[in-house]
Amino acid sequence: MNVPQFARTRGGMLVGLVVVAAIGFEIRTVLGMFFGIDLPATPYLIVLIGILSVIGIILDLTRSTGGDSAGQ
Amino acid sequence: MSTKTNTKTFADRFPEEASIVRRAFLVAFVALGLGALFGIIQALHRTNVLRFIPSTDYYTVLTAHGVLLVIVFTIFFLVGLYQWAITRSLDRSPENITFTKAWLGLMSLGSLLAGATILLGFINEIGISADVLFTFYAPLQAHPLFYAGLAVFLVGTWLAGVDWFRTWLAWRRENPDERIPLQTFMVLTSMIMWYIATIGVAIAVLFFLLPWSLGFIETVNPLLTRTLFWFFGHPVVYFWLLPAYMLWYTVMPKIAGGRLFSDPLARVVFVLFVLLSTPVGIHHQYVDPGIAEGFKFIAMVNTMFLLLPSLLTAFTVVASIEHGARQRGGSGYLGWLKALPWRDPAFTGMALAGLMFAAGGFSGMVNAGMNINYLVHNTLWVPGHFHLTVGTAVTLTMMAGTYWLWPQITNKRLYSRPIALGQVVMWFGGMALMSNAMHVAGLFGVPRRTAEPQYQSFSFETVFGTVGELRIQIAVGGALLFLSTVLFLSNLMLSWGNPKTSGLGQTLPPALSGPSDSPRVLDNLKLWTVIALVLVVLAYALPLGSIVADSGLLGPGGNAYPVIVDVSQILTEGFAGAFDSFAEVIR
Amino acid sequence: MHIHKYEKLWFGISLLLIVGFIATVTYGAVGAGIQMVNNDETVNPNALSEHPKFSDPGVEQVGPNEYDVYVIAQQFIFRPGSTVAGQPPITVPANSTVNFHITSLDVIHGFSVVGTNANTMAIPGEVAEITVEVDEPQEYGIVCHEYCGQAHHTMEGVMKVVPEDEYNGSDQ
Repeated sequence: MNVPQFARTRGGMLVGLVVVAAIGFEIRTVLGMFFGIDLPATPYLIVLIGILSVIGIILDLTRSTGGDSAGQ
Repeated sequence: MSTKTNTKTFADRFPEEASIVRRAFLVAFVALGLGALFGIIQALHRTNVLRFIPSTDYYTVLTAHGVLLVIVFTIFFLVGLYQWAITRSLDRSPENITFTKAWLGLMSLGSLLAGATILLGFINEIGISADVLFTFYAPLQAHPLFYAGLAVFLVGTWLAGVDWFRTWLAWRRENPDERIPLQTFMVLTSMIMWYIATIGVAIAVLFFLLPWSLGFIETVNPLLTRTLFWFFGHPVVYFWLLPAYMLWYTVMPKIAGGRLFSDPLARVVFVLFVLLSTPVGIHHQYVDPGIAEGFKFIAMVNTMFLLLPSLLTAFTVVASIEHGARQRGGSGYLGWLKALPWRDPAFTGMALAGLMFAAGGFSGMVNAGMNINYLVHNTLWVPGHFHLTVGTAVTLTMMAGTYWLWPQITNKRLYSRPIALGQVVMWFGGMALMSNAMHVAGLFGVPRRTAEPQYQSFSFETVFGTVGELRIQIAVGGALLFLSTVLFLSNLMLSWGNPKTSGLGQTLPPALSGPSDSPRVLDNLKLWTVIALVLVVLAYALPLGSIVADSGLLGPGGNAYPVIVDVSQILTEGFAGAFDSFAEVIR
Repeated sequence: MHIHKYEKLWFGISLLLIVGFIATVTYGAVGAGIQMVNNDETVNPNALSEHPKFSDPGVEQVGPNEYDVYVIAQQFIFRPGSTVAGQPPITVPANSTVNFHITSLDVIHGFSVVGTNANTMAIPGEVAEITVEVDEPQEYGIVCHEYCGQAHHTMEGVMKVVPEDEYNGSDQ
């Protein structure tokens, strides 16, 4: 994977994480409707949001500081 | 945008027209706010999370939610956007700005009349109501002012089209050999589609429902008026969608840093909508009696082909933003995605709307699938579908488009870009939650348009999870959507308080593949209109003729059922006595 | 008109998808034999009490394993069906063919046997006819899913598929 050319912005990371969260949530529905696998909602969501929060924090902390915050 | 430009804004170049756009948007956003408030009331009520209105009033709320959002909000936004688009793309003012103000005024008057009759339904003592939902199926009957309001609104939109055609024709006299500029092309084709589409509902309202509500005719044929409604009811969704497509085609590539991939393909897409939007309406009536299976099959085939312009749009839009990303320095098979301006709420809103539209398109394909329709007709799946399409693809794009357009029609900056970004992301998340639950609940048989989908004699069975968790999803999702709407409107209201400043003008770059690359026949609007009308006649003449032949123009039955029924009398007298109660219903 | 190579590919795939959808729906119609609600009988909703069948709605045996069910939908009950309102449930024996004939007395109603694909509209003046195969004994709910007035949400019913030996003839 090549070195990211753009400073990760908080806005961009938020969008990416929310999209992944939505997809992750939909996977539970797919498993339920197509494969009959019933994963209980609350633990599933807690795990999903937990994992994404951790990823989000790590991405934020490893963001290159001194990045162009006025850019997009 | 934080950089200043030397371009004049639209408000600088066309101050009167900018004022028209602002007024149209003001009406649109007031309707949006009110519609959203009713939406959260519904979400909390039908899920049994919080009920503070009687369930009979739920239907007043539902009617208001539908009419305010998909008639007032979307169409006022459309006329504002299109007035901006045609003025800037032809670089010319309307022939007579007073005429412009007049049609806007007519639309406002019509909305006020219809809206007032709906809202008065909350006050039983007054006896005026229109609890007939957005589809106003006879024999349920609303107050005559409801139908009159709709008619006045429609006439206003027709005159808007006249205004824009006049502007274009005047431009064409001075530029006889030029291709129609793309945004103008989009405006004109949208209006051709609208004129054809509104034939059905205009006939239903002006010849049947309005005189019937005034007492000039005794009965109407319910299947006939229902079919005439759906003649209009499908193309209206494209009337909502085409402004969003205009933004995706002409504005989004610019925001992404690039240019539209192909102007000719954009024209082809809009022409396809002119041709195919209307001869498909019977797909909303797949399980109706009184319409032969053959006509339903024809509608199904037409509907499947109607997928084509949207699929083409998906390609062109993604290609255009990929071009923009690479212009900004992005590279790699998928890595260019990182180079897009995700911090820009206008861009992100449109991108998320487009992403969600793909999901909505797929659930729409299921709806179109004639025999599959048995599984989803009138279940909560259907609102799940259209909250993805009109609720997100259209609404979220309109919100995102407003963030971009705002500085140019007001010369003021947006109050807060981070809040705007948070707002569009919240809309996406809330809708993912709510719409997912609606689709799933619909497959389990939960009905739509119902104040209390909790029944005494049976319970819904789920394949996974529980009905309770689906209800919570809808309530939480709906709450997020409401909050997102509040953030959107507050941001705009606070932006209004910003000082006027300069340097906010934006230009829209031409497409990579320009209009000269496309065959001239695409600009032959008369040809497309004639073909569209032929297709409509082929799809509708026989079914409508058959309905009239079977049960008459004014039908047996179709006696008026004003919506305030004396429910308590029915319940106490018992259902065997139900017949007698109806004789006593007074309007 | 210059069309990019990938766009032509996408256009081709899209058309294939569309034709594929039409083909599967056509298969459902002619292969699997799923018929859509058709244009059958019309009635006078103001004279249902004089109609040979709708004057006494209910279940009627018409063949060795075939039953006709006549249902009237009205504000806010199904006759038969709405047990909450004192109506009998729609009762048919297991492993039979059931022909529904559904109409409305007043406004447009919906008729949906929850969890099945028996789903249609009750429109005054028209009769919706759908034929279903019922299998094992089970109890189903019926909902009205088209807004029909202020008490629309109370409009519900029950359909009972009973073991063949328990079915005791047209009992409505």
